[in-house]
Amino acid sequence: MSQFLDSIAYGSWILHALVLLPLVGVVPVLLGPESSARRTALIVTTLEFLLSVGLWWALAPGQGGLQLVSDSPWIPGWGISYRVGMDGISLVMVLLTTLLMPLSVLASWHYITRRERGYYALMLTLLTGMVGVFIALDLFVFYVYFEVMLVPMYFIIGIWGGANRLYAAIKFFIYTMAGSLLMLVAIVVMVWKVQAATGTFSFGYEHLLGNARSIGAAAPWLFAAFAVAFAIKVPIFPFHTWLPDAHVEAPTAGSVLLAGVMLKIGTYGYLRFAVPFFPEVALSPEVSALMVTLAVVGIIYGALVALVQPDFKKLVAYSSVSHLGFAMLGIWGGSLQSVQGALMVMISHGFSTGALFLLIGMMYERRHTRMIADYGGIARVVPLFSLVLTVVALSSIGLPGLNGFVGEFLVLLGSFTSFPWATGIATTGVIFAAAYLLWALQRVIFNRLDNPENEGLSDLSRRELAVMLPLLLGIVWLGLYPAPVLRRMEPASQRYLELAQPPAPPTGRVSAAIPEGRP
Amino acid sequence: MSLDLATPGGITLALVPELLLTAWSLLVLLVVSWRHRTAEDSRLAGWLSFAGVVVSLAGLAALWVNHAAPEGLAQMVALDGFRYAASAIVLLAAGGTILLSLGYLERERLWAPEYYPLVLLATVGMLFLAGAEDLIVLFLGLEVMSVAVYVLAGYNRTSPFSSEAALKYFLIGAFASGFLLYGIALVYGATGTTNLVLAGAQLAGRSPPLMAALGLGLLLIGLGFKVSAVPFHMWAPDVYDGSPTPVTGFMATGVKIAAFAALVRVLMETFSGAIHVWQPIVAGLAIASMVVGNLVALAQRSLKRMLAYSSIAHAGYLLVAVWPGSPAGAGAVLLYLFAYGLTTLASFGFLAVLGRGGERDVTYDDIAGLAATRPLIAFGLAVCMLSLLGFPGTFGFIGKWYIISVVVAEGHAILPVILVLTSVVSAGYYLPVIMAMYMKPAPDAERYAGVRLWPAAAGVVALSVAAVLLFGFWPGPVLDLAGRSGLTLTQTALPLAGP
Amino acid sequence: MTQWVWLAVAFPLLGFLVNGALALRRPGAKSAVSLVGTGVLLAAFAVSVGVVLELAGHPPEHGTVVRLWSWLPVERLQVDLAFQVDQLSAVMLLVVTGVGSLIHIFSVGYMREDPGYARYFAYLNLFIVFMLVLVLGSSFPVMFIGWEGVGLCSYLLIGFWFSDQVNADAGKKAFIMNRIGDFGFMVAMFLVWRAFGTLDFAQVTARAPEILVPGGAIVTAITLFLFLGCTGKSAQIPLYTWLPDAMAGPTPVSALIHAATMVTAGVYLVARTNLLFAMAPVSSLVVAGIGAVTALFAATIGLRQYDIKKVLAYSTVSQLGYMFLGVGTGVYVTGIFHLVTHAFFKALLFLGSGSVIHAMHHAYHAAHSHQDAQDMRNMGGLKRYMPVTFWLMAIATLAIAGIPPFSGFFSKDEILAMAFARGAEQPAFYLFYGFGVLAALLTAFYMARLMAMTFLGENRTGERERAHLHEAPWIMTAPLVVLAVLSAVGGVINLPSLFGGHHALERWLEPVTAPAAAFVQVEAPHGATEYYLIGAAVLIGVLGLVAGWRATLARPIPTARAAPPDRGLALLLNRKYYVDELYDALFVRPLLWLSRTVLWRGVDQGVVDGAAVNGMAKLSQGLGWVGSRLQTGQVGVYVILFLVGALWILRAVIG
Repeated sequence: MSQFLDSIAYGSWILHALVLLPLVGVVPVLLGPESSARRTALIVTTLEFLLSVGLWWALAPGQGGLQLVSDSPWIPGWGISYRVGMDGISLVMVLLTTLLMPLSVLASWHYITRRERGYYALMLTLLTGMVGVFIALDLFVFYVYFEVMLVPMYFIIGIWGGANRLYAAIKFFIYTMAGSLLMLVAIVVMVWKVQAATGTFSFGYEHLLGNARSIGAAAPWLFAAFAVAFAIKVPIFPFHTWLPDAHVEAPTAGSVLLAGVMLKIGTYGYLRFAVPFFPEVALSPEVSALMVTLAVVGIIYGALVALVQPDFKKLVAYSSVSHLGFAMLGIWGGSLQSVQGALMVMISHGFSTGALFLLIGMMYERRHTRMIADYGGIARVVPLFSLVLTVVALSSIGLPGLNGFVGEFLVLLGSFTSFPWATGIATTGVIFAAAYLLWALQRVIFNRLDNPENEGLSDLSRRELAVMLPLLLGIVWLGLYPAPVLRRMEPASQRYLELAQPPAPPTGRVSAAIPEGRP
Repeated sequence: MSLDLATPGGITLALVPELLLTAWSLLVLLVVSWRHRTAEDSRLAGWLSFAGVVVSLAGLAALWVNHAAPEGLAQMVALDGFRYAASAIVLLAAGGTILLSLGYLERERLWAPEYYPLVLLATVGMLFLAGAEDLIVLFLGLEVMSVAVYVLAGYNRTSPFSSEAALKYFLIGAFASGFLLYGIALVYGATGTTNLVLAGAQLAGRSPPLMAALGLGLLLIGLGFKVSAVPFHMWAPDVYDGSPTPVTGFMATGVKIAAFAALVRVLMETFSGAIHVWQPIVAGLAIASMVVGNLVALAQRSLKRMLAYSSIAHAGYLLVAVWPGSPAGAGAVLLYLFAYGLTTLASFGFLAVLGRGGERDVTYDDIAGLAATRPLIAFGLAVCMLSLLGFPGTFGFIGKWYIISVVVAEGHAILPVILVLTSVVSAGYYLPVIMAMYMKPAPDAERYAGVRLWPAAAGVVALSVAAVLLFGFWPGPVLDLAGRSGLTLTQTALPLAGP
Repeated sequence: MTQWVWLAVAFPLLGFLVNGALALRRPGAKSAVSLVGTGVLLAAFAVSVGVVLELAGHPPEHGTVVRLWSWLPVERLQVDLAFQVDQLSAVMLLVVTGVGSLIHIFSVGYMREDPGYARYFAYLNLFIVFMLVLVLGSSFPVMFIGWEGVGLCSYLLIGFWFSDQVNADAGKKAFIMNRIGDFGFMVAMFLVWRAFGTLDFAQVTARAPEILVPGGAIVTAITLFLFLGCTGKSAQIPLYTWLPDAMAGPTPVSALIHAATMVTAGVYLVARTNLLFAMAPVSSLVVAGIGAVTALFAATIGLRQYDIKKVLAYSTVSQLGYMFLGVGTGVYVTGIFHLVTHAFFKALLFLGSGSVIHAMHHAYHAAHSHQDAQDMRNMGGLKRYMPVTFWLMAIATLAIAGIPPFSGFFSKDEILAMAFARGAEQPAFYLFYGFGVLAALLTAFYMARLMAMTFLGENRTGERERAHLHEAPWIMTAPLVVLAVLSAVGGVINLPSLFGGHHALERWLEPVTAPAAAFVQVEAPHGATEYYLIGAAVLIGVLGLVAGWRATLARPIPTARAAPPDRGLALLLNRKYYVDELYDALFVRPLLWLSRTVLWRGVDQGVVDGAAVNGMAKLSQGLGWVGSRLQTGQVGVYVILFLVGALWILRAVIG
């Protein structure tokens, strides 16, 4: 495989292709007839996915550093160049994105009935933005992608969203922008500080990373700016309240991409920028204590609030807060297991929650309600749907053997050494997760079929099955044989840990066996 | 090419753009004095005037490409990149305004062709203001500009609001001019010269004497009024609201551009020694303008008033760029003026189109569902809003980023933080425009049947929007140009900064 | 053969897939389903037998680990999906596949008419898969896969008839209570990882002596958290309440999952990690104590239940208590021994009750009357209609009551004897012994009551219904016969020397329990004490049986509808000490209140969203409004403001 890829110089153009292809695709979507927009979009996104698959082999294994780096001048006089590249972490994130995209398009097939051209054009632009964020190696470029992504999502929520969409859309936009603009100031400050120290004025990632130590007193402020920007994206309690609104109002595909990809950009931001740039701030006892506390609060709080949601979609939205809490805990967990776990959580959350939103969307297409109370006992009518829903719910609960467990387990296992108490509390999350999802599951597919409107429900169509199948396969595969993925990411995680050296004294990073030693 | 401004030939060459434009405006006046009855006449005058702007622009270009510089000290008028850049932006604004007016005047049945000569004369004033190297010239330019704009503001004689606007503008404007004039007098008294650079040399290296300091303050007040900085902004909303839309656009762009050019020149060439005196004031004005402008804009229903307050907020952003008093800062001012000018011009162009016959102000509800029937107009306006918001991918973002950068370069981050936070507030009134156009249903299908972009205006807005996007993604050249132009200001005592 | 042990898992998995597909595509194909469903089980049983024979032939040092693939490789954490075949897992292998096969066969008859036939067998096969993974898992995480998996299947099978909310609730309750236990299991794993840097059973056992301090904090914490997991899975106080509700599932499920196999996983876990427990005396004491208390507590509730399956359910909880008492004493073989015998006779009892319910159900169904087919007050005198079932269940009753020579006698007696012996060094065990004896008495009593109410006396089913009562078909009775034989003679697998045996099971498990022996030595009682203990046990058993029989048949029993409501102690017992209500009031309601009222409406919508976020927006708009009020249009106002600004600036420049 790799020989073939080398023969076509895959590595040299793929990253640009992945960003450009969707933009190119926008043209036929906009110019073509309304009816063929979705088909074009599907073709483009599928092509994008197939193209991206090669990355798995194109990336040299066992290397922690950034690869496929390419650098082309953009604003030469101002230290800004279009610099992209990727490591194991970006790899899985990009693959997750390109996989979820065609599925989202398929999920919109019948859901989106008006102004289709605009919709699919926006979806494609969004794809460009999401891929770009994960490969950007110049902070200016990263910021531009980070922001540009907002606009398509803003329109998708605002135009094709639910009843309260306007409020949700503007809330989502302003919330995120507030954070990112502060980050912009922080980036500029950082660049100047580094310039003062090194004499080179550059937004390049490696340059800044290499000289981040020279920032000095401003570091805490800069970290705060980065941290808040990403905290809103993740979202970490208490910056999370945009999420339920955005999720509930967004059309299915919007929710899928929001949960599946965009939230991960927050955690990715911590892994790639916030922590490696300012380790002595980020990993100082106070800050780690704060972040870990927020993570644990998020886990429990999200689960408890999810427990009492009457709206299935809102329930899943709050469950995301809980799941991403695990990822945050893992990032600060300080061991390879915890970091790998955080990444696995990010991936499996994309699969499980994405699948959940898709299924809810299918329910909504049939009954035009997301209220749990409007369902009940439908397993009798739609066995296949119920089976799929059950499997997905179980994976989200973290049933061992399915994908959800791997991440959670590794995070908790890895964080326990550094933060036994916090991790212990976080572990109770597995109880609440079971509680809210099984309860919802029971009220939706079990119990008596008492609502006559549900008797006529049709089971999953071929198209819907085609949407769910890849996710289901992923759920089982990642649950039983995650080794390849773990191995692919390990060097990158290792590198992250090397960069994220905590200030002395080390906060028990080593998860080595601690023999008690006989008295 | 270097010119000896002491000689008549030299000064004439140095003033080519201004002279050409003046002459041309008189010519147009001559023409319209017996061709002023029909729509054709008005159109003819319009195109003539536009030609004038182009000619003047050509003259300016001639100076610029030859790097015309003064022999020794610049008398009366500056010969440097900063002036050229500022003048160029002014002329672009003027040209755009004229083209936008063509259809507007017809639609509103305002067939008094003196309109165009007035625009040209106002432009002449702006050019002098932007290029003045002497306080007297500065004042002359200011007055020529102002008087013409007063008249333009009240141009729609049929509308009481228009007249009211003109009167208010005139009253307070005259009041402000008084301050400015007195300030000039004091500076002269303190330094014995009205030449900016000489005065600067006099004041360099020592904290300014009381008289000069007072002069500085009065100049700040006078110019602060022209750039509509809080608290000298109160006239702006009413005047913007009452004036014919293209004129409003002209005020929001041309007047601001010229006034800011003058402000920067005065502060940097004459008062760079007193930077510690005026920096806190500028900072104060900036913060007040950003906060008040953005907050009050939130409360507006009418788009025109909203844009008026937003222009106040943008004056605040520009003042942030003025604050460092560095060449880089001057460059940032130029760049932002360009970005802001393009965007605002286009926005008012759209507004002019949307204000259907006689309707005084267009509210958010009046553009509900526009995107469905007029996708291109909606798209253009949306881009403008995002650019004003300073969103990445648009020229507006580059401008804001540049401002932040030059201020941070001074090791100062509070103003930038306030800038971005108030920008977040501004999303609260820019986004609803997009929302109304794209996410709300049109009240009825025929709602926008009347909305038509007459060709000239279409060209203007299309070009502006295209430029806004182009420079948003490919800002390198303009950035460099702005940076270089900023460096050309005669520096008396300045810390050098910038990459 | 050992290398092929994974086949034992693969066959049922195959069955699950096939039956699952059939359930979705053509639920009607019942013969195919029965063939696959039971066939794969018999195949798995065959594999197990082969494996065990090989193991018996030439036993390896520490069992053999069959590695399938690498599951969680992260740096030093190298978890393989691997199966460990040793003497302990071999025993369970036989029990699970053996009893499992019998119950599958029984189900063919029992579930015949059910529309969800295929789905039922799919679940049942899946359960076997996970149960075997649990038993064979060579490390904590792999065992955890099975551990949670069986919980899932139990959830699905309890709620098998999900259209009835009670069943769905019971399933959910089971899963969540198990999750509480799993929380303990996970924390225990983290502690092990922190202490050992590995999660393999073999390595942990090998390195425990030099890494852990006997009686130290770490080992105590590990074992206590593990035991929390056990209380969930094996329905011990305080997490036992789900098991009685679990009877909502089909009766064969109750027999397989909630009596013979899954619920004994906790006991198995303790035996599997016996070294750790042996090194943590405190934990062992807790285990034994909880076991003894649960045994007695559950037995008392069993006294006053009318639903035949509820009685057996509480009996199961009680018997599980015995097993924990057994492993708690540190003589792990006793726990396993009772686990095995209990699997036989309790499965028999459940299946027997199953065929009783089957018959009752048919009778009521045929007569179109809607009475409770499981309420013993509606039965009585069934001996006449289903003699085979009666006699078979009678054997099981004698076994559970601990009447020699039936299997239950040996296992239970050994547990009590060892507890008594342990009392010598830890007096608390005398108390536990007392509890055990008392529980034995009650066990015999309620079993006698059950038998009497069901089979003896005159029939209370009803005139019309009576005609339809009949013995179950052979496919259901055949498994009963096999189980009956096992229940009767099962004791021989660990026959004590006193009865001419030589502790076969004990020797068999020697390699597994040997390391623990270094820390716990319990001297089995012999001589006079031994005779006294045995005598007491037998006496108690007989006494209980007779008392129960007499007390039940002393006066006529009213039918369920005619019966007067219980009062006083009877009511307290019948309502299970109101523990469910207590939990509901203590945990469930407060939690929901906290979540809904405080966190969601209060914090989320009130503080964060309402006050902070929207408050900010409102504030800005308010300020903007105020600002726009200043825009009066009066030039005077403007000039004043202008002047104010001017003065400020002039003041500033003067400095």
